Amino acid sequence: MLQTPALLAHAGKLDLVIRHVLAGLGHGIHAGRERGAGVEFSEYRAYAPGDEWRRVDWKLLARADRYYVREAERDSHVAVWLWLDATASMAEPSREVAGLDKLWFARTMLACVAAIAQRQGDAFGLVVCADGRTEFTPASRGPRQLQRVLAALKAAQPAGQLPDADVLKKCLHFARAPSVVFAATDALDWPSPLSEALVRLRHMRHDVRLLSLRTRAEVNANFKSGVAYMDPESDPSGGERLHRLQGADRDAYRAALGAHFDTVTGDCRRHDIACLSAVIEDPLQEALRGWLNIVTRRPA
Amino acid sequence: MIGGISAAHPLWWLALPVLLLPVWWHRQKRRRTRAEPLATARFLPSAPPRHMRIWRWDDVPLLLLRCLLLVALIAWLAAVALPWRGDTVFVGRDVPAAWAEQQVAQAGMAGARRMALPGDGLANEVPGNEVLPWLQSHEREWRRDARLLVLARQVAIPAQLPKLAHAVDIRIAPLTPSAGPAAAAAQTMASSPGGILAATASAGNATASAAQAAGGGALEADAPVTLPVALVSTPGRKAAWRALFAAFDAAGGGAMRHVVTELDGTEAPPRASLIVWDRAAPPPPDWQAPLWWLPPAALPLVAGVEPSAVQALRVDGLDLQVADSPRGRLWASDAWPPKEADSARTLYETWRALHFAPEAWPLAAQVIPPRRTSPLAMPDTRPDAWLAYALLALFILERLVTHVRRR
Repeated sequence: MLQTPALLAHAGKLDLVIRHVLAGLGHGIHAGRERGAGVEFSEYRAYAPGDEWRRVDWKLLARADRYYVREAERDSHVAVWLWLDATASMAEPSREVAGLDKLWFARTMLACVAAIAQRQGDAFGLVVCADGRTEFTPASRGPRQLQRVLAALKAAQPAGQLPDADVLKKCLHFARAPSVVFAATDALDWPSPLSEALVRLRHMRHDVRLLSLRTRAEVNANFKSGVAYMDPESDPSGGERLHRLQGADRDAYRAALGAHFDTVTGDCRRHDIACLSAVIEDPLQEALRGWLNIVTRRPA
Repeated sequence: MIGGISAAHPLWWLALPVLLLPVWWHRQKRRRTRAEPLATARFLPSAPPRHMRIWRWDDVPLLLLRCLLLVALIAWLAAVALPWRGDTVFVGRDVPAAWAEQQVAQAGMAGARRMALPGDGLANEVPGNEVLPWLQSHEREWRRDARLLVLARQVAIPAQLPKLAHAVDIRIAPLTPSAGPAAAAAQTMASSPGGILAATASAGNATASAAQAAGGGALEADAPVTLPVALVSTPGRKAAWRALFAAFDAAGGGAMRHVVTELDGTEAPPRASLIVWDRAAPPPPDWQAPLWWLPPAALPLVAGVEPSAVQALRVDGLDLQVADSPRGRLWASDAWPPKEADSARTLYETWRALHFAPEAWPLAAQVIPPRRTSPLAMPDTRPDAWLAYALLALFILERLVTHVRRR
């Protein structure tokens, strides 16, 4: 069904895409200590849409004529934090595949990670940085949390710039428990409040994994020439700054972009942040697998 | 004024620069080069901002509509009138048809439109008196190349020949050949009323023949103007008054008939232009006329006449006392009715001179040359009706097109 990236990008339902992407993907981001639902019974709770049917206590249904779900004790101590950069530059579309842009790719990756975390029983939360603000979805477990996070991801619109360092610093209060931070960004602003926050998180011994997104056109520098380009995140009060791309500019562009991402990679390596750069036209499964498996490649 | 178009308020044409407004609005604005957003644009060399200066119109139909609307509005305000009349022949009512046809054919205007002489329909108006002033005020209705031919029996000579933009060919109809000599005789007799009066006075009351002769000499087409006269007199003097008015009939060349009604002062108020009250008694209070002839003894008896307001006049040996009263002007004299031809003539001439408007001096047949390049635009000119309809239609169209464009 969803074979090509374009078809995938046009699938409206994020959970459908997740199911497609996660099909055949192995379980687990990390070795969870949870052994399955209901090992250590803790409580009953009312059934909520999205709960798995096999976890419904049928005897209790027969007795009480209501659906109850057995909640088990979870002992995963790892919280998963999803960090979505939804600034204006994330609206950069693929120049090859219609309807595909960086934000879609980042959102789908994060949704897949959320689904995996939910499947493992980990708590997960979401931070969306857009238009100078952060939108914060507190970490929690369960299918309703997954729906919540998916809705928040879907509602994110690319706009504005990153929030400044103070705002980001204030929202780092979540990171008390050990957590895994999945940050999806285009990493074009590299010494940025976001990078500082990630470095800070890493120094607090969280597992930080950065996904830097690029388009195929950026990699190959094959944009149309003769068109004026403008930076979507440039300050509108300062007037539009226009940029041009002509034949000789391509190499300089490629070199500048390469140097920039080298800086990003170098910074990440220096601060021991796992960094994966992905091209949004590439298959999402592989990028996801690579993102999840970085940790195994990292020396402990 | 362009091409004969005349505007009564030509200063409104100065508002034409208003047309620049829609032109300005519809000019496409200076546009920057279209810039595409590119996230990695910061890694590209910066380019100077470029502007596209384009002088192009958008929505040309709407622009045209708006310009037309404004032009129509200004033209309407300027009261523009387009000339629409071509060659025209003005034919007087009393002009012989055969002569008129002959003149029209001679002028080569057989296909021209015929119009009645302006002012011809008015009852007590001498035909043709109004032609030239009327032409001057309506001349903008004629196209520049139109020719005008006036066929009339008489055209009043104005104090000053109007300066017209068209040549006006005025031809005066001759008297009909059959009536010619008699009319000429009547003219001569009228010019010397004394002769007639002598004849009538000598013939006593046998003035009917002279009156008939004069009436026969009058033109058939001229219906004589009747002048009602109310006569209140003693029986002995009634004949003398009748003879006097019969002589007046003859003196007017038959153009004016005096219809004498004998009354005894007890009737209902008569409709008369002249009341002869030859009685030393106060006249009935409700009688009114523009002119009264009274004996001096009756003058103080008329209500509303102040003795101090009575003026004494002496005209050619005729002693008159003149006073104005609410019932009309009063003339009093000892010499009523005149006893001999000279005094009758004096009375007639005084009456014609003092109490009637002067007759128009006829204009000779001539071609009035054009003396200005464009017709005079009269300030009371109303704009053409089609202009208002065009304005309305343009306004509706403009609204429609604007609405469609907005959707």
